[in-house]
Amino acid sequence: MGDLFNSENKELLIWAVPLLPLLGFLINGAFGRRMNLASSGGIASGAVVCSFIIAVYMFIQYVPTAPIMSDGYTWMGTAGFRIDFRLLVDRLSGLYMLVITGVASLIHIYSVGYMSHDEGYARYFAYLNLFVFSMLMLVMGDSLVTLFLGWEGVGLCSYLLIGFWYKEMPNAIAGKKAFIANRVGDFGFMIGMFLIFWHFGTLGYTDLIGRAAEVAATDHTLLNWACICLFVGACGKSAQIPLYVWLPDAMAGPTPVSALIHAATMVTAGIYMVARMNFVFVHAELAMDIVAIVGGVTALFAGTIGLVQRDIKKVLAYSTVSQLGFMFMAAGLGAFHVAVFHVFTHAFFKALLFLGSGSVIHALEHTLGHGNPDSQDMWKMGGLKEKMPITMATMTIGAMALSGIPLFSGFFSKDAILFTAFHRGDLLGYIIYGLGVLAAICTAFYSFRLIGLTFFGKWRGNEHAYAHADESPRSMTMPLIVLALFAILAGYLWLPPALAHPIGIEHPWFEEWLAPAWAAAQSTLPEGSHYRFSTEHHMGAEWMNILISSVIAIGVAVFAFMIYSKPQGLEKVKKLAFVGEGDAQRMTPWYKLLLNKYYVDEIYEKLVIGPIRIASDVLFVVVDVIVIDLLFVNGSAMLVKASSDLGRKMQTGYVRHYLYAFAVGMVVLSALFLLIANQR
Amino acid sequence: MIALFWISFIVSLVGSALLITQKHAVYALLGLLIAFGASAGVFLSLDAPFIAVSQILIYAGALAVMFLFVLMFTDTRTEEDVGLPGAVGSRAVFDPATGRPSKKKKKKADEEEKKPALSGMVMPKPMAVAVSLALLVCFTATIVTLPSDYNRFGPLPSAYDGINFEGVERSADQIKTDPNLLPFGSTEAVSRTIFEGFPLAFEVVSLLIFAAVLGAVLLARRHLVGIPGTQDVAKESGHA
Amino acid sequence: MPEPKVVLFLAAFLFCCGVYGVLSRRHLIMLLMSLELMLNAINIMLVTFSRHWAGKNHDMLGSHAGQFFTLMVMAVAAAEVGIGLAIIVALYRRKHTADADAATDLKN
Repeated sequence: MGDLFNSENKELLIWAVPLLPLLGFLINGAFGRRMNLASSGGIASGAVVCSFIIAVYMFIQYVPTAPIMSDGYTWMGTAGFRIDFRLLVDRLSGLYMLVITGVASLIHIYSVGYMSHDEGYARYFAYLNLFVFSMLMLVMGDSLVTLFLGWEGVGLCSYLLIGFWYKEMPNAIAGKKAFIANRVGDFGFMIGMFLIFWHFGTLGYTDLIGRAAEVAATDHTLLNWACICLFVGACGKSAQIPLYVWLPDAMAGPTPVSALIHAATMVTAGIYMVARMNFVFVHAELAMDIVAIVGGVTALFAGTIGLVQRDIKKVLAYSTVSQLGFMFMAAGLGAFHVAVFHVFTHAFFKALLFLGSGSVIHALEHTLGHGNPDSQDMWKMGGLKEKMPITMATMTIGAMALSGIPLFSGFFSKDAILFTAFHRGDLLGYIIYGLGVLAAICTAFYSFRLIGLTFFGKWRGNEHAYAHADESPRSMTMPLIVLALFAILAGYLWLPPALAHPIGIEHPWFEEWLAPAWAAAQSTLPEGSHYRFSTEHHMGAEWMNILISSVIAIGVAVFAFMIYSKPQGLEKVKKLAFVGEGDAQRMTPWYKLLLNKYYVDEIYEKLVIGPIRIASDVLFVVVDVIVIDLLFVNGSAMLVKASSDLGRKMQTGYVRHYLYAFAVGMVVLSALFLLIANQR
Repeated sequence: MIALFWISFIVSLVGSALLITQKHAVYALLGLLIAFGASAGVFLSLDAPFIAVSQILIYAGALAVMFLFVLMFTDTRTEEDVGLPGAVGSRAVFDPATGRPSKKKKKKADEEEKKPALSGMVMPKPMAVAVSLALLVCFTATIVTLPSDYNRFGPLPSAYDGINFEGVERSADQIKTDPNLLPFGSTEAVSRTIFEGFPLAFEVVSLLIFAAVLGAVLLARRHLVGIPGTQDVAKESGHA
Repeated sequence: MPEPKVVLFLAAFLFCCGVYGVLSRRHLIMLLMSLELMLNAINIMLVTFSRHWAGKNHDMLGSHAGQFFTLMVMAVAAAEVGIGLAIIVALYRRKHTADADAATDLKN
């Protein structure tokens, strides 16, 4: 082993990280049907765990000193166009690599238990491995093209996994919806890539960062457009307004998939891309403002929808959209390190919450039957804490981290985002701060509503299901416990200065670690730019910020928990939501609005899908049937027929006669050529 | 080089003569192969080694084998196998009972099918000789009247600069050591021409070959139940 | 080094042999073979012109353009033979003959 891990084998190691999951995919994809459950799940999990171990080794051994660059080969190259295919592991991608393989390992292990009764067991693990491979290509590639390769790859895997139970129509439709929403974003992303290539002639990060000064001097209109287009792509992948609609529907897939793809990894690809291109984004102020505002509005918008959802996974889905909004807020304000920090903490507690909800669903599905919506309806749960103590404890930790209860990881990252907005000190900063605080209130509320409804109070559903509900097997609870540990500890990598300075930490690890990723951009920024990282600290403002967010988080969480864990509280909520009694009972307008997600899907149906459908009908009738079919196809055919009626008298049908005509024509032509050439 | 050229010259004349005179298809194919091999020699003597090797690989290797296979499939070895020479409408007629060509039925069918209008238009072999000779005369005259710089080939540059695409004069040692210096006709020079000069044409040809593969598969497949457009062999072989 | 005009004459001769073969054969496979000979003659001509250009102008792309087109002709010839032979096989299935004069269904 010692021999394997010497520095000459860097090349081998860096390729092993993405290729091991690919190998797992190939084995499971090709032979999965003939393998038993244990070997199929074991190979898939083993591949990801191995690549996690290698990633950890590389992260500790090489990444702190210098970025690792694999040998490249030319992927496409013709005159004036050249794309190299190589892997790059620097501090940013190293961190992502670690989170992806780490969370994916836990989720693979969890899936071994969760999917054990599914007939598509091998297919599931093949897709999951392919996803991990694509995601690793996305973060480890050295150019936007490699990123795009992974970007499309994860999109494909997402489509495959959302529609995993494709025999039920809604699942297939949800898969298609995700794919199409992503395509819209990808279109913008490609245009952004073309703009950058058009101007700089390269798409490699290393090349572009090397020319950061040139980027800074470029026309800002171009940079703005390029960045806006790239952000459209990020909107699609990271589920921001207006392209977020696919993510809640994506919950049709198996729950571990929701945890891996739609919470911890794929949806953070947009943040990764923005952070990767930070040296371009910081010079596109308009695009940055758009990013921040879209992020802020999405955070609040999705947070309010999350308040009223009844489906346990839908709550978490909207919560994910909302948290992604937080990340974009930070990125749009120039605090890319804060955004990445929130990605980092969010990966753990959101994966934990999803896996916990999966554990609950798994326990109820056992008696209610697979795919029964009752197994996900929180109004038909309650009091599960006695049946599933481990799930309850870990999920409560996750909810505390999500709502930003002090000393849990979410607190540190969310606090950093809010403080960044507050500290900016102009109108935009205060608007973002306000949106952020409101969204944080929603977050705390729906998190503890979920905990209260699911685990506390009295059971409100099928008695039989409650009697048979049981704690999940070890392979499912182990990942929960590990993730719960990380959900607490991850935040301590970056204590806010107000807490860090008194205990003698001058530079928190996380900030220090990521500093090289922004160095190029920072060096090109003019003095006094919003996006320069300030070195001075305002203890007073920070303490105030910490106090405000702690009070909000704790207060709202306790309030929500008090209401939803008691039957009297539930009665009060029902009074708020419904008017009238019995058959005359109707929803109050605000409840109806939120429950129907602000009617965004219906608006899209009317404004986008409807017109497209009408336009395609019109095009079909006018262009296809009349112009093309009648005029061009049949018309030209009739024209040809009419003229060929004249010409066909000459046709004997013998190939030789045509050949003679051809040869004689050749003789005549060359004789003519000879005559003309000699006359000159 | 000049000896190689003249040998190839004579051999290719012999090969092409074989091709156009032999009645038996396999011998004709042998003539074609000889002509192709000799052409490879001509390419070599013209400083085009890569083309010479491709010629052997593609024509002699791939095409000849394909011809042989189809000869095997169709079981028609000679001109006579496909009908009597010099007459129209004299294609083989098959006895539905045995599935083999029947001379008696064929004679009858010939009588029936001999339509005056068509048989008058049959081109005899002398006419083919006349047309191709006329063509040869025209070509030769054109070649003879070419300007005087076609009297001999000019000297080649010793190597091309593979980066600047320009002819440069370098010593043999330099050519060996400098990877960017490419001799005329070498594989690397030709491939640089393909990928840096004509990448689009190259891609288009790859599409063409793809289409040809698809087309060949579609044309040659047997009848598939339920798929329109494919011929039902069993039904149609009765009345050829 | 051979003289250009001699090589061109060889190409012309091979081409005319091909034309004679195409005109006189009725066996479709032999007809295709003659067609191949014509294409081969064209290749010889292209390579000759490529060499001739290289002796006069010393740019790399221009000198090798003729050889490049030779490769293109080879590719097209391969495609053509593939399709041609497939057509012959299909014809043989239908009519049990490879006679060029048998395929007269398109007359009039």
